[in-house]
Order: sequence, then C-alpha cells, then structure tokens
Amino acid sequence: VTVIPSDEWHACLPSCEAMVPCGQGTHAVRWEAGALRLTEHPDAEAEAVLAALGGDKARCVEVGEAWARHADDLSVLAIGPRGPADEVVISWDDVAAAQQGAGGGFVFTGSAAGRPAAMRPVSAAGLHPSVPAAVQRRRRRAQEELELVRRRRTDMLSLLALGYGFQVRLAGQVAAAHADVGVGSGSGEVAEGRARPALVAAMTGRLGPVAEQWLGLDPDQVVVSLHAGPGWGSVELTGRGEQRRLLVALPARWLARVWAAGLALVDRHLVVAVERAGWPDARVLGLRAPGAEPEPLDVHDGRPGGGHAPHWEV
Amino acid sequence: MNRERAETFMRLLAETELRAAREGATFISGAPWSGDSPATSFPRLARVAQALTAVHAIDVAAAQDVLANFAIAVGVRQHSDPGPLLLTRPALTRGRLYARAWWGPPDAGPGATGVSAGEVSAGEVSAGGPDCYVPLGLTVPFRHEDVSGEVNLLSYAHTPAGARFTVTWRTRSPAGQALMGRHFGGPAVPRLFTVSDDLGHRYQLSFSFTDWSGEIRLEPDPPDGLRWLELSVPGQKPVRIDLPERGAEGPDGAGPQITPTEKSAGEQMLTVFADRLLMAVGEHGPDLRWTSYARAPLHAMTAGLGDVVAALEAAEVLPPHSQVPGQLAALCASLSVTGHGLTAPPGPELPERWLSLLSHYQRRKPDMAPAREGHAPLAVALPEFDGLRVALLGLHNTDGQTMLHLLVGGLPEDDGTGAPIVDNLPVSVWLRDSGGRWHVAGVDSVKFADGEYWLRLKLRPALARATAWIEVLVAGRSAEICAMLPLQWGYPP
Repeated sequence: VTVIPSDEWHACLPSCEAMVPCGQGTHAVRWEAGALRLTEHPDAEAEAVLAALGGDKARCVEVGEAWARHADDLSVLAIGPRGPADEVVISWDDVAAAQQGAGGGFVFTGSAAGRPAAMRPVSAAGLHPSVPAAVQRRRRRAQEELELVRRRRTDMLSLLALGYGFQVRLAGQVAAAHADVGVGSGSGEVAEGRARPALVAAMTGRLGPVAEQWLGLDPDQVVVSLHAGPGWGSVELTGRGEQRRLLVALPARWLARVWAAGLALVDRHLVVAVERAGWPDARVLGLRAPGAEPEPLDVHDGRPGGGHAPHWEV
Repeated sequence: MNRERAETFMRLLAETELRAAREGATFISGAPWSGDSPATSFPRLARVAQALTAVHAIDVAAAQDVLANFAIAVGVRQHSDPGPLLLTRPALTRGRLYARAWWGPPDAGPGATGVSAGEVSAGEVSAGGPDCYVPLGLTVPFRHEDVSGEVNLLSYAHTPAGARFTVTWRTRSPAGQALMGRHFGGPAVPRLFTVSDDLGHRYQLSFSFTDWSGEIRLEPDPPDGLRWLELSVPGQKPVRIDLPERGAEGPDGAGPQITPTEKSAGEQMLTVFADRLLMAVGEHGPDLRWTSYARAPLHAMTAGLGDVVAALEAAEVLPPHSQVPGQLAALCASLSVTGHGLTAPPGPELPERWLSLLSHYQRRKPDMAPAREGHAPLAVALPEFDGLRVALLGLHNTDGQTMLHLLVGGLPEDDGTGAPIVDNLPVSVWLRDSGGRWHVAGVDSVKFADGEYWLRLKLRPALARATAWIEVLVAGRSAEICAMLPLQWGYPP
C-alpha cells in the first residue's frame, strides 16, 4: 500500500476556538484550516508594531506571536500532551503569574539549586585572574540561556492555556513542518536530520499509550523508528515476556495527519495512514493486529461540535 | 560516534522519566504553582547529559534543550515551578563526575597522536621545543618582619608559556603561618626575593600559591642560552641555579616508557571516573567500610552509572563488549556500593592499581599515620600523547597530604561550555612507590596561564617519606606513559 498524501495535514481536523482574557474583556481565538486567527484583532501586525513603540501588547497578539514562534519548534512535542489522557491544564492565571515572575519567578543570582558549579568556590578560583574570567563567561552565558528558557516556558504556558484542542493542533503543525525527515529531500536533509531524535522521541511518547490501549503492552516495550520511502511503514510484535517489543516504523507525518487528528486508535485498529483526508468523514488505513496488512476504514467523527478533539468511529 | 543515537537515547530517557513523573504525580488542576522541584527524576537525565556532553556525543545546547523541556513538561503537568531547573547549565557541570573526552586539538584525529612503543629519553622529549626542566631541591631561608621560614625550590621549568619555579614554603612557627595568612606571595614577600641571570638581567617575581605550595613566575621571559639564574634573599648567600642547554638530558635522566593503547572515549571516561571513585574512598576515610551512611558519597557518585553506560553504548563511544563496565561493577561491589544500575556482570580482572588501592582501603587498620613532611624535586617532561604535553614538576608531603605538581599543555582554556576541564583531567594519573603500592592522583588545585595548566594533584594514600623511587603512570586514550623516577627527599629543619 502506497500512501502519498496530497491534501493538507490538518484536513481531518475541525476548527476550534478558545477564549482569551485580553485587555478588559475576553476575546475568541480561533484555529481554522491550519492557521490561528485572532478574530478580535484583524490587524495584529500593526498592533505589534505599536507595542514595539511602547504601547501595551494585547494578550491575543502575544498568543499569536507565541504560536508563530513555535510553529516549527520541536520543544512543543517534548512539552505538550502525549494523548487525551495527558491533557495539560493551564489557566490564564498561571500564565499571568509566570509572566510576572510569581511562581515561575526564578532569577539567576548565581546561587541557583544550592551551589551551581559555575559559582562554586572551587579551590582553583582564587589562583589566577583567568579563572574568574572563565567564571564570568559561564555566568553571563547561563543568564542568557536562562532568559531564553524562561521565555520558552511562558510562551508554552500561553499556548497550553488555549486548551487541548489547540495543543494537539500546534503539535501537528510542528510535526508537519518536519515531516519530510527521513525521506531525504535534497537540500533540507541535513537540517531535517537534526530533528530525527526529537521526532523519534515524540512518536515513542505518543505511540506508547496507544499501544497500551491497543495491545495491553507496557509503553516501554514500544520501539519506534522513522519510516522513510514508499509505503506506510511497518508494525511488528517480537519477543516474549520482558523481551516483547512492538517495533513500529512510521513516517513522521503520522504525528501530524493521524495522531494530531485524534485518529491513532479507532475501533481497535491502529491507524497508520490517512487515505482520504476530511472531516467529519475520512478514510484511513488501520491495523487490526501487528504484522497484519492495513485495511481501509471509513471513519466518521461521531461527536461533531462536541469538543475540540474529534471522536472517530468506523 | 553516533550523535543521532546519543541524542535519541537522551530524549527517549526523558520520555520514560516524564511518563514516570506523570504516573506518580498528584495533578491538581488549577492549583497554585508549587515552589517544590517538580522533577525528582531530573538528576537521572542530567547525569546522562553530563556523560554524553563529556564525550562530545551531544552538544551542550542540545542537552540543555532536552533538560529544559523536561523540566517544563513535568512542571506544567504537576503544576509546579521548574525554578532553578530551567538553569540547565549547572546540571551539566554539577558534581563534575565525568571528564571531558580529549584527543588532541580539534583538527587532530586518533592518527594524529603518533605515539609508538618504547623508551624516550628526557632530551629526546624536549628536543625541538624550547622547554627546559631542571630539578632543584634547594632550600632558601627567608625572614619577613618577625616571621622566618624557608622556601623549597622543587624545579625550574621554562616553556613557551614562560619560566617558573615550583616551590613549597614553610614558616618556623604556627604563629608565623597565621601572621602570613597562609597567603605566601602577598605584596611584601616577593620583594624579599630577587632573581638575576648570568647576563645581568633582573626579573620581577609573580607568586601564586595555595596553602603551602605554588609557583613563582619570572617576568619578563628569560632569554634562551642562559647559563644560570641566581636567587637572592637579604642576609642569605645567593643560590645559583645552573641551567642545562636546551634539549640536554636532565639529571633525572628518566626514560619514560610508552605503551600505545586504543581506548574509546567512553572507556577512558569511565576509567577516569573509577579513579575519582577510588579517590573519594580515600577522601572519606576508612569508615566507608563499615556504614552505609559513610558510603553515601559513593552512592551519590555512582547513581545512574547504568544509564550512563547504556548512553555511551548507544552513542557508540563504548564498545558493547568493553570490559570497563564490568570492572566498574566489580569495583562498586568491592566497595559495597549498590544502586548504580550497572547491568554488566562484575569482572573480569581489575587493574593491578585498583586492586592495590582496594587492598589498602580494606585492611583492618589502614595506615592512617600522617605522612611526614618532606619535598622531592622532579623535572620530567613526558612524551606527548592525546595532544597533551605533561611535565612533572615536584612532589611534597605537607600537612599529611602528598601533592604532585604537573604542567599540562595542549588543553584549551575553559571556555565555559560543558564540564570544567581542569577539575576533571581527561587522563588517569597514578603513582607506584618503591614498596609496590599504588597511589591515585586527583586534581586539588589548578591555574591556567598562557596556554598551560599548572596543576597540583593530591595522592591517595599519601606517600611515605621513605619512598626511594616512584613510577608515575599517566594514561590517556592513545597511550600509557610510565616514568620511573628516583626521589631525593629534602626535609624541613
């Protein structure tokens, strides 16, 4: 079976909406056809320019900027939910607290975590002027790194606060941005190759709970590799007892097209590819058991409008 | 080396740990942020990050990325504040457990080290460079206000980085020591000493000391071709130091033996780690044998070693059939240290030097008598290996400790990335005494100047002053260098 998707990765996802405290009110933020829309801010770019000149920046605009910053950021896959049972609930109060430094307000003072090595009074430190210089370099670098990570955290909190529907859609977008990994697509191959470890981990973290539900396997028994080339990949069960392993080889686009759309497990079938994308109806390829040939399944969102995550049924 | 597999290993470990944290978490939606650390499993990940960055299988930025994302991921699920965990760099250096792999300058590969077996004379070692090493063993009395004492000159070394004496010093009374503030080389003291040469130059002296030993550097750099230097102290007869011609064999006449080796980066790292473990046993005394409480430092050091070995294997910097993990497991078993996670069966045979130290530690009554004061001059340059230039500059027993002074060239200045190089040398340094007993060396203090590290290593156990000769073993990845050296002890009056 050769599956060459010609449609957008998000074709199986309905639009979704979240309410964001913005200014004195609450504004709707909408995801639709793969894009985030700030419905109350038709000219968000102009607002951002004004904010850069010293004005206040609207929360919605901040969220939109954070979304754009992380649309291809693999950190999203490392931090975001691994499945419906792993919903990450963040409130806007949490976000505000983190932004104001309360709760998340760790500031590098040179005494973090007890005594960081960079600041520890090692016996070498007092011996030569060059040693304090090295310590200074470490300290400066650590401060810069900390600022970047804190910004990443507050960005992530804002994006997570949009709710599970947005969380999986952003994950899908990130996965789609790196979906050619392993295919060997010319000039981008080196950069994409750098994403492979993060994608393997992201797929392992998401396939584990699915395999547990599908076959009753421990998630640690799932071994994932990125499938490259024609075909949908392979899923095999090997070994016995503690040596039992579910060897899964799927393309990275599985994360975007299947997992993000909530299609990973439908009617006790592991969905390995989307044959005809659409919402609320789609045709997918599903495996009843490891080693079996995938069979086409016509699936339907049995809960249209019932939430941000589709509930697919055969 | 397989960097992709290394990073994948670390990211998969983060997935495993996140799932464990998730399953163990009491998630309270809407609860206020907790100030508690969210990631009890963070250290496990940090250790693997330390090891993989130490062997350069994963770059520091990628390792930090994994650690930071893990801290954030656990924090958002447990509604807790990652706090200091977001400052990921200390996690890579904390404890300084794993020595950075080093195999010459960045453009030099394994083939560039070019070591071959055999004996190399001291003259041969230094030929082709301006290096000059002279063992001294001279004592110079001094008096400063009401304090009197003496300076013991162990060696004179002149390298491209400059000229220096390696020295120890003592005052004649504890009161004097307190008066000097144990900071020999304060503003007044250098003015007591003058150094001149046969061409009539006078030198400024720069003192750099930790406790009772250190170095005195000469400024400006002495010219080539000098026949002697003269050290003068008011009220004392000047001490003349004859300098050999460059490249001439020194009085020690040591002919270091070179044994080529082919250790992987992972094997070298684990071997140096074992040295540190054996050093730590010595640091914490004989109680280690009796109580698990006393062994706590060793448990802390060895926790997660199994993960580290698996990570090194995944990164293909540790051969799957390497003996070193089994030897480490056997070493841990000998020290009654558990919880390390090593899955390799203990064995096979441990290196002789490990066994020597273990038998010392496991004696019913280990020799706890402090080593008697004394100093022995050394001045030997070892053949270059792994891109490193190592010279031995002196040995002394002070305050019950034995210290060995080294000069190491070829390592870059610490640029603030990764584990500090100098606190954790990428080579093993051992010493065998004339009684056949081995002593492990660990870095005690260090300074970097002009491309060279001046190191003071502490030996465990201390060396008896009756030792007639020592065999110094410096082991890297590409070679083991062994130098047999007679000791001419000098004693305090």
